Order: sequence, then structure tokens, then C-alpha cells
Amino acid sequence: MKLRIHHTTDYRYLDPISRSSNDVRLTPLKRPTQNTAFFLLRVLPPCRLKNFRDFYGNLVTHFEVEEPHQNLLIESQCTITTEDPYARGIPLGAPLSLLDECGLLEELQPFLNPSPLVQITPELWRSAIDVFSEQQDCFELAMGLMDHVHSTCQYVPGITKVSTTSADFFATRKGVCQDFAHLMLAMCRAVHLPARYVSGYLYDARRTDVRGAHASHAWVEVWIPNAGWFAMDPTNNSLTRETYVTVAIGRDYHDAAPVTGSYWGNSGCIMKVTVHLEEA
Amino acid sequence: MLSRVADHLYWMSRYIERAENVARLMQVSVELLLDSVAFGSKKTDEYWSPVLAATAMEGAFRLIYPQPKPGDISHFLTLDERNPDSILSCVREARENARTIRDQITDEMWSEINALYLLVSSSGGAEMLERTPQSFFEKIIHSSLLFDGITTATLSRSEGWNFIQLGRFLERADKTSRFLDIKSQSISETDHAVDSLQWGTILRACSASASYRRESGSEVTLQKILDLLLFGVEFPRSVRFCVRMVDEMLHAITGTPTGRYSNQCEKKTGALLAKLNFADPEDVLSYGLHQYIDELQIALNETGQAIFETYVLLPQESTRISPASLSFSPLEFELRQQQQQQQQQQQQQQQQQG
Amino acid sequence: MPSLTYTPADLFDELMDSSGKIRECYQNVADRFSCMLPEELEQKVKSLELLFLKHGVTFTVYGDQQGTERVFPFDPVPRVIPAHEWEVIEAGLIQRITALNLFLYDVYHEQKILKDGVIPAEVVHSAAHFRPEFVGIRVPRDTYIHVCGTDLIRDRDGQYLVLEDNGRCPSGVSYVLENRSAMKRVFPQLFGSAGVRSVDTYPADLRSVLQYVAPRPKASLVAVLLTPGVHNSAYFEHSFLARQMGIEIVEGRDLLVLDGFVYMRTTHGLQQVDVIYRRIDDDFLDPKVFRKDSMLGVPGLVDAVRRGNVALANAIGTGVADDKVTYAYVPQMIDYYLGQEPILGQVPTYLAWRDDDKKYILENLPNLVVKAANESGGYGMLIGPKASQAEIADFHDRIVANPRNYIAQPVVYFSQHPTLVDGEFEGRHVDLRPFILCGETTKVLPGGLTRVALTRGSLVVNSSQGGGSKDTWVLAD
Repeated sequence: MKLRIHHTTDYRYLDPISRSSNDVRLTPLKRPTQNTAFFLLRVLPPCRLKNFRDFYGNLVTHFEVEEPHQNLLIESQCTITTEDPYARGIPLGAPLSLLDECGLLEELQPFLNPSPLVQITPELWRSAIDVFSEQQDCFELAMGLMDHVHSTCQYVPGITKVSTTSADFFATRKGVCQDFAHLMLAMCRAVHLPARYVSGYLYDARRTDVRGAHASHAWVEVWIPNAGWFAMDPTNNSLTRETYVTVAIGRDYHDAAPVTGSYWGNSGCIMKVTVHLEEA
Repeated sequence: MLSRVADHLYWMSRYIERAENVARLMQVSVELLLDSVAFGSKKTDEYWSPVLAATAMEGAFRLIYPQPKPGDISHFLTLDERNPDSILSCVREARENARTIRDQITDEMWSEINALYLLVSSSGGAEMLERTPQSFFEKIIHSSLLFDGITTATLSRSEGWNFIQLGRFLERADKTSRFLDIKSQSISETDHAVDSLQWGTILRACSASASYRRESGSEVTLQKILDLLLFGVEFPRSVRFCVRMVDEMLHAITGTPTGRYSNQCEKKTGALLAKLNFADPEDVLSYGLHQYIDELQIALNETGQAIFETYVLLPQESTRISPASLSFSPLEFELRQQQQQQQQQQQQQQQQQG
Repeated sequence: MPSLTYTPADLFDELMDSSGKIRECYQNVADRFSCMLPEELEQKVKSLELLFLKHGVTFTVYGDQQGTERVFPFDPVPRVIPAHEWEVIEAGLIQRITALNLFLYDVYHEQKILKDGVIPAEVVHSAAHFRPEFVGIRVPRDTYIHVCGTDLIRDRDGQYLVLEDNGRCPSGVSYVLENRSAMKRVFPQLFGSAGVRSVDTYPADLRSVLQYVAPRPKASLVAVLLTPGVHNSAYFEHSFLARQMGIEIVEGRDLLVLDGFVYMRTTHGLQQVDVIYRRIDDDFLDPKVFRKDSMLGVPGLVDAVRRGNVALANAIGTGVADDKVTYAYVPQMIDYYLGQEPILGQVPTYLAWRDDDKKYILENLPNLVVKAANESGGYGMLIGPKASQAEIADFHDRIVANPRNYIAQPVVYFSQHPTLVDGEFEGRHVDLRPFILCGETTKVLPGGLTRVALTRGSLVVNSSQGGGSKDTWVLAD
């Protein structure tokens, strides 16, 4: 599937601010199942953009706007072709016993432990264990956890914030895709299933009941022993097919956030984000 | 629509109509001259002077030709570039106005006006005038009529059309009244008998002979001529008919109901039309034909000026414009000058464009 | 029966690969032309010419008192660009125009790229089209170049290279649209089977760009096209575009500035103008600010622009970005503002104001193409290998006298393309000018003006100097 993505983040400050320093992760990851034909990042006011790869392999663009300014526009355009990651079938057949060895792999460590937004409380752990005890297969376990998150939580925008942790969300069970992802991460890690946070886009032209379509979206990838990373979307209770575009990964939102930054000034700020996806 | 475009459309058709009327005048004059020469009793100049007077270019002619020779007047009125109202000048002006707004008129209109210009500006045109003057004049008249027909048949009835009609009918009203004036001075106060040969010529110049015969028979009387050429309700070259068209067009532009006015030009034509609607030849003759026509022409000129001031020079809502900024709102003359300067400017600019 | 093929030269050939085999994307076209009888071809060429005459697709020849208008010569063999090639061109152009617009914003504000030493400040400050009086003035949507026509050529390997950015008043798009409509009528079957992407949306797209940059949102927006007048060589295009967009075509004297607002004079009074798509160079825009002798402009217009009451497309001062010296630094701009490598290459450029480069240029004049920095249309140019001794000496002196004004490039050979010459097909040099619109999104018109040098071996494709044009077919996937 060939997709065209247009993503703008427009900050308006009530009074001029200065010394704004920003990191953006908007360049889609290079993967066998997705191929970026075109990507362009535009920042206004213009300034020098510097790129680097972070610890998780995401491409980070860093820039600073020193002079006083009242607007900051970050716009990315992208044309990308995607394939269904499950085209060769579902990776069933990995018994849960293999999960014990995962702990020995160094590169999986960050995705087995709690992180700032993925907090594992005893209550949360008990819920995860309930699901765990019904399963024998790693992939089915992940599906079970996803289904649990999806069926016990409600998609309600405006209640949670970017800083809401999995524990907070577990208490209210009302939130958005980021919260769904964090909770699923916490439950996976609680039962020693390596899991990581994914930031990206979801395209769906026809259905209006798909949460997070036409906006910056978040979901989860789990490690299936002898098979690798596989993604699933707890917000929509579905496997990620070719309509998903992976941009960045990390332990939680903080590692993969599309745009983060800081500035000097007392001014309040109005942020307007628009994401537009279309089939090219 | 843009004022400038309206102005160009108006002048395009005015100049075409003007060229046509000069040609009409020349056509009948040459004819008359041939007849008189056959009689051998009159000097040619006596025929030409009233013609010159009818075009209101006597002063310019005396200036250019202090000691006129035979044939000078004829040249002056046809192909003399120094006369701004010669046929050549009129056709060139008409074409230049059309060219400037070529995208606003139809291709067919452009082809006709361009072809006419190519004819009168070529050596072939001059030759034709020399050898067969009658066919030359006929060609001009036909081309103008054709242009009118093409316009009617191809141009949408939007504001542009109204301005084209304004130009044509205002010019025609002016010229018909001037034709009448040619012989007005020779009319005695008491005796209204007319030289039927000469008045017949004027009827022919206005393509009015047939209409006249149909309505008035073969006897030529001044009253009946005036009744047709000044007051004719149905005759499309009568002054009254033309003024009515001008009035209608002006009302079509603003959407004001007839009988009322919303600006100076509507006021002027409304008053003039009323004057023509409620007068007859007897009134005119007792008032004095020459004086009546004189006043008529002043009123027509004022209408033209009012159209210019209302639609071109300054839009009526523009009371905010201070007189100082008027300095670059050109009168027609300045406008032409500016165009010329603009053409020179163009040369410098081309170096810079990609 | 004329065959579409001919002896390829030592150049990139659009039609054939190096072994003389016809490229896949041209198969359709080659088949159609090869099965055409000479009479049929002749008849088609005649109908094309007639169409252009009828539509008045003309340009004015300068220096002709009568304002002679000529039909722009048109070649019937279309230039074909396969989808995968176009994808690269499109991406490269969007990247480039984005960088140029960011550069313009920067140059008219903080000038960070100069302060950081990435581009020498002198480059900008000595550019003829830099307008220091506009530093600190924000333009609507921070867009400077709304319409760009970028000239591309292909090197011997077929790589597309940018030859020139035209970010002031690029012309030629009307020919793209007219060429297409003529080709559709004369070669309907061939056209129908080829899978060519449409160019018809251009006027609507341009109109939405104008709408997008309007200073304030309004229910009924008034946009106009400002032309120098009927005597301008591109007047046909101006009136064509205005008609297609459904906006008024105005001359300077139709506009008037009152209290910092722009109005046009209409038969129904003054009407406020929000956006001006201007086809007049900066110099002539406003006699109060730029050239005092300009009769084409509108006194007070610049003030209205400064106050933000009217938007100009393109903005004032864009000439600093398409300057031929600035051109040399576009790859640095792309790196600086976008953090990327240029997608499209460009021609290596020597700048006479750098001493080392100047020395090299002066020593190698016979092998170089020398261009005046601020001129376009093929004027002020020396093609070393084809120049006489006297011409070379003349340019030598000119460069020494005013090094800032000259750049030099190695001779780049354009690709060649089958072209109908006296009933036979021969290879002729072509370039390509795609058109880019920058509004809410940046769009590249899938097509462009392919200009062809009709004289054998000539590298000059400008319409003012005996070039012709072709329809450009960008194929859908």
C-alpha cells in the first residue's frame, strides 16, 4: 500500500518565547515491510536541522530556535509503501517456556523492565497473570493481553495527559491510544513478554470507528522467541496490517515521542496538530 | 468589469462607427461631386467644405493644409495619419483598443477588425481608394456593419456588450446630427424648400432613402427628413433611436429602472431623450435647425464626458480619492501617452524576464 | 515511411538506450509514429499548427513595432517520462523549493545561514535581486516563491540535473496546457492508450494557492493577475491563466492604493484586491520604491504589501534565491534547513568572485559556459567551445571587471530527443521545465514544458531564441 502522510504541529505562543530546543522523531523507520520513497521535514522559523540515531535506532532531528518567536511550525511530508507484516502468517508455536531465555538477551532488557510511563503495580500484575495462566503460546498470550486491555478500557479523549502512566490509566480505564499501549506494555512486561512502544500512523479511509486513524497513533510490539518483533494495536484490538506506518520505537512514549522540546519564556502555548493520510 | 476594459470596448466601437460614418459621408459626397461635375456648374470646394464641417475637423485641416490643393480634403479625411479622425486613424484606433483587450472580445470580432486595419493601412487600400473610391468606402461601411453583426452574434450580453453599444450609438447619434447640419445653414428662415438632390444625398448617407420613401413618399421636405433622421422611432440611425439605445444600455449597466437615474450619464441621456420624445420638426424649425443641432451635439458630448467620468476616470464610490492622486488617473490623452511610454518601458524590461 | 529512430549521438538519448533499443516507456509512441504514413503525419502537423493559431498561442517578438505575434513552434513527438523517474524528479523539486523558501525566509529575517558561515554573506548582499528593505517583513504564510519553474537537463548517464531555478515570474505553463489539449485532439488513440497523467488542474491549483496566501480569510476573495500589458511577450499566457482561473487580468493603471489598501477600478467603483498574482518584475512593481520611471506598476503597492493588506505571488525579493551565484549553494541550503542530501544533482559551478575559481575560469574559458549571474532567457551567456576568439576575449575582460556577476560551468550536454525536422525524425537537444506550486501543500504539475532546440547541435532552447516545445507525458504507474 502506498500512503502519503502530511503531519503538522503548529505552536502559537501568547508572548514571544526564545531558545527553543526540540527533538522530533517523524522519519519513518527503515524496515523490510515499509519503504520510504520521500520524506521532508520543514521547520519555521528556518534553522539548521541536525539528524542523529538514538539508542533505539530512531532518526531524531534536533533543532534550536534562538531568536524570540511566537510561532513554531513543524511539518513533515512522507510517501511510503507498506506491506503486511503478517503476510507470511501468524508466528504461532513459541511455547511460553522460551520466554525465560529472553531475559538473557541484552538487547531485550529495556523492554522487560518498567520505564517512566510503564509502571507495574501489583493489581496490574494480577490481571496480567490471570490472562497468562490461560495461555500456552507466546503470540496467543500477547493477543490475550491485547484483548484484555481493549475489552476492559474505554477510548475517551481528554481525560489523560502525555504524562499519564500505565498505573494511572489502570485505575481509571479511560484514555487514548498512548494509554492503551502503555497498559499493554506493562502487562506484557509483568509476565516477562518483551514489549516495546511504537509511535506511527494508522490509515483507514472507510471506517470511522477505527481509533487513532488520521492522527498520530501508538501501539505495541512484542517479542516472539525465534520469530522476532510483532506489532498489535490494543486500541483497536487488531494486528497491524499494511495500514500501519511505524515511525519510532522505545520503552514508552518518552523514547518515541514525535515532537518534544523546551523553551525559555512564561508564555502559554496553543498547539494544533493535524495529520492527514491518503492513499497515493 | 475593469474600467479600463470598459473604456477600450467603448472606444473600439466608437472609432469603428466613426470610420463608417466618414466613409458614408465621403461616399455620397464623391457621388454628388460626380453629378455636379457632369453639370459643370459648381466648384468642387463648395461641396467639400460642408463635408469637412460635418466631421468637425475644419480647424485641424486649415492648420495642416494652410493652402489646400484639390484632393487635399479627400486625403485628409481618408488616409491622412495626421488627422485623428481620418478613416485610417479611426480604424487604427479601433484596432489598437481591440488589441489591448483582445482576450475580452471574440476571435471573430478580432479577425474582422484586424482585417479591416490591414486593408486600410496597406498600399492595396490606398490603391483601391485611388482607383475605385466607391468600393473603398463601401468596404469600410460593410466591414463596420459586419463587425456590428459579429458582435451581436458572438459576444455574450454582459457589461462589455453594453459598453460596445454605448460607443456605437453615441457616435452614430452625433454623426447623424452632423449630417443634418451640413445643409442647415443654407435654409432660409421662412422658406423651407430644399435642394432635393443634396438632401437626398444625406438620406443616402444615413441609409435612410428607403425608409423615407416608405413613410413619406417621393416628395422631399425638410419636415419629413427631420421627422425621420431626428425623431424616427424605428429608424436605427435616427438621433432619437440612438439616444434611446444609449439610455437603455446605461440603465442595463447599473440596473436602474428606466425613467429614473442613478448617475450623471443616466441623468443626461434621460433629459435628452425626453427632449427628443416631446418635440417635432415644426418646433425645431421655428427654434432654428442649426442652433437645435448645436445644442443636441453639446448634450451628446456631455453624455460622452459623463460616461467617461462615471465609469472610467473615477468610479462613483471613489469620493475618498484626494485630488492629488488624480494626477495619474489620466484623461484619455494622457492615457494614450502613457501607453506609448509603456511600450518603451517594455523594451527595457524584457532583458530581465525569464 | 519516416522511422522514429535515427543515429544516436554520444549523449543520453530519451528514445533509445546505448544499444539503440527503444526504451520501454517510448514503445507506444514509437509504434504509433512508425506506422504513420508521411501524408498522415503531415496532415497531423498541419492540424496542430492550426489549433495553435486558432487558440492564439503566440508570443510577441520584441523590437517589432507592429507587435508581431508568432506561434511557438511545436514538435509532435511527445517527451515521455516513466513513473519511477518522475517520482524522483517530484521529490527532488519539492525538496529544493522547500529549501529555497526557507532560505528566503531566513535571508529576510535572522540570516542564520550567513551567520553560521554556511553561505558567505557576500553572496546575498551582492545579489542584484536582494531587497534589504524587506528584511523583517513577514509575508503571508511565510511563503516567498509560490510558483517556480525549475529547468532540468539530463547528463550523459541520464541523471536529471537542475540547471536553473526560476523563482521570480516563471513563464511557459500555458504552453504546457495548450500543448496537451492540442495533442489530445490530434492523437486521441495514442493518448488514450498511453496512461498519461493529467495537467488540467493547474489553473485551479494556482487559484487555491492564491486563496491560501490571502492576508485575511474572506468569503469572497478578490485575486487579480497583474500583467505589464499586451506588449509583453508572455501576454498570451497572462490572459490565458487569468481566464482559466476566472480572475481579472489587470495592468498597473487599473490598480490604486488608498490608505495602504489596494483597489481596482471597475465600472462599479473601487473593489478591494486581496491577492495579486504578478507577472511583473520587482523593479517595476512600485515607482515609489523601486524604479521611479516604471509606468507598469502601482504607486504605494509596496507599502500595502508591507502592511500586510495584500499578498503578492511571488513575494518581493525572491530573485536572491534564483541568482546564479546563490545556485551554487543550494546543496548547502538543503543540508542546513532540511538535514538532507539533495535528491536532484546540479551542474558544478565556479564562482568568479572566488579567486581560485576566477583563475580557473579565466584559464579555461574555451571549455566553459559562462553566464551573467542575474540574467535569464539565454542573454549574457558565453558557450566556450562555440565562441570566437573575440567573444572569449570580451568575456575575459567582463569577468575581470565584474567578477561577482559571472559564474562558469562545464559544458553540459542536454539529452536528445526525436524531433520532426523537414518530415524526418532527428535527434535534438531538450530540457524540461516542470512547474511547482507552493500553497498549503507543495505540488509539482505532472508534466512540464519540454523545450527543444530546433537547430542541430544548438543548446539554446529559449523561445526567444528559436526554440520549440513538446508535450511532456508523465506516465501513471
